[in-house]
Amino acid sequence: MRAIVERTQRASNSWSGNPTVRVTTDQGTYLTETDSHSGLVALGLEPGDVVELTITEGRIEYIDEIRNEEEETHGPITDRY
Amino acid sequence: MVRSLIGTEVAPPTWLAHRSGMPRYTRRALPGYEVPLHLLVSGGLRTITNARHTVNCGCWVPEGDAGHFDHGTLLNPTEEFLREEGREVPGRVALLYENLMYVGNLERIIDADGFPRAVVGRAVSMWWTPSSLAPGWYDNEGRQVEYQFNPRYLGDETEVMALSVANGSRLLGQMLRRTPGRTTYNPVNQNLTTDIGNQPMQNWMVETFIAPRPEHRSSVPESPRAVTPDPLEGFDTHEARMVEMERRFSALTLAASVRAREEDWCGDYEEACRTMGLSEDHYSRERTEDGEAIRNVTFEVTMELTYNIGTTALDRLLENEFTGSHDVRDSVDVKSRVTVNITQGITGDQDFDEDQHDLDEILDNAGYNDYDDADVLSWRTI
Repeated sequence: MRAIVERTQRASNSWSGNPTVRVTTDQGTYLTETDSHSGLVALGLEPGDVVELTITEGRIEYIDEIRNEEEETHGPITDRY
Repeated sequence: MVRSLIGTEVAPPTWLAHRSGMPRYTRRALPGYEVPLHLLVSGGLRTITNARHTVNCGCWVPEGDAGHFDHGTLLNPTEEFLREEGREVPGRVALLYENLMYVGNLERIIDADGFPRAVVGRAVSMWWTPSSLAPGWYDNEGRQVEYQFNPRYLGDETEVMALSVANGSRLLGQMLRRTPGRTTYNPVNQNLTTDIGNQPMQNWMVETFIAPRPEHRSSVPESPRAVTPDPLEGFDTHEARMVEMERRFSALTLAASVRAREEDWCGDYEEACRTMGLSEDHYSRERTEDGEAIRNVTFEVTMELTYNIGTTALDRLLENEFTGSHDVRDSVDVKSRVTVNITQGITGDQDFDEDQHDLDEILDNAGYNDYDDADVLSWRTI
């Protein structure tokens, strides 16, 4: 399902600060569990990001930004090649 | 024309060296080491200069360093390199990207010349985000451009190595999410910078890409890493190791540095402390204007430090400044596991901005700031 990242909380500006991300869907509000062994990586997600996520047994199992295929690696700089 | 083929002496244009303030570099032979068949390096100007300063390699300058030089002022020898090499690039191929947007370029180059789309060999993408450009990149008209990591440009067997200082870690997150199990990132290098002559980077390149010459192997010290216990023993896959390291770092940084700006988030930090094995014996809670904060976290960190022989850092180390055991070897890249006792006192009216208090700052505050880098292996409460 799709959702919008409502809020992130990270302890550090470094990569190690994998944030906790809160998203609200029509099924409720969920937090990523980034301090577990889930392998979930929320790094780089920001409030307002539109994400695709899957919920399994009440937990976010997968989350990633909705990709814009047009923008992926085909921005103006790469187009200049 | 800049030609960056292996075996060809290359120097940047004089004007460029002058403009950048860099000395003209010379290719330096590293006694006792040899480059695997091909080492193709791309990246920003400082990256490739560093690389060439360290090893013999082909270099790809993708239209110059977007942050520091005009686009198009440098020629891209990659295409020529590939063409002259034939339809295959054997051996190890290192692709050092300032930004993985160049993966797209690589695909185009390969396609245009009829090369296989997938990178042949083992490709390693090294990426960092220059803080000067974070959180995005800019095209040559000054418009901010956000690039996304798209694994479709990578071959199925391509291993991705993310090397990041990660101010804007969005791309790093995408790499980790989108190539799970294939992306490795090395926190040892998280403070790596690209300054010319940067020893950690050169060490990393040597360690990663350069094999000892057979005739010198007996004189080349073994990596201390090989004889030290694996701090991540039991985590056998890249993904598992990554997740575990992430968990540890997250817990550490959370517990040691965070400030509960709002009360409803305070529970997360307590959870982090519990993850670390910390109890309220090891920290205290205080009411603040903003809510409730974790204070006075005390813990012990075992680090693997990277430093260089002959540096002040080594001198200090040999003076036994640290507690714990040392494993010092006469090597171009010495690593040692040391144990540091740190009491992170978070008291008073100090402004503990959540974005500032990561591990590095904790170490700095504790006086361990002369080291090129530190990799936290484990910690325990004391």
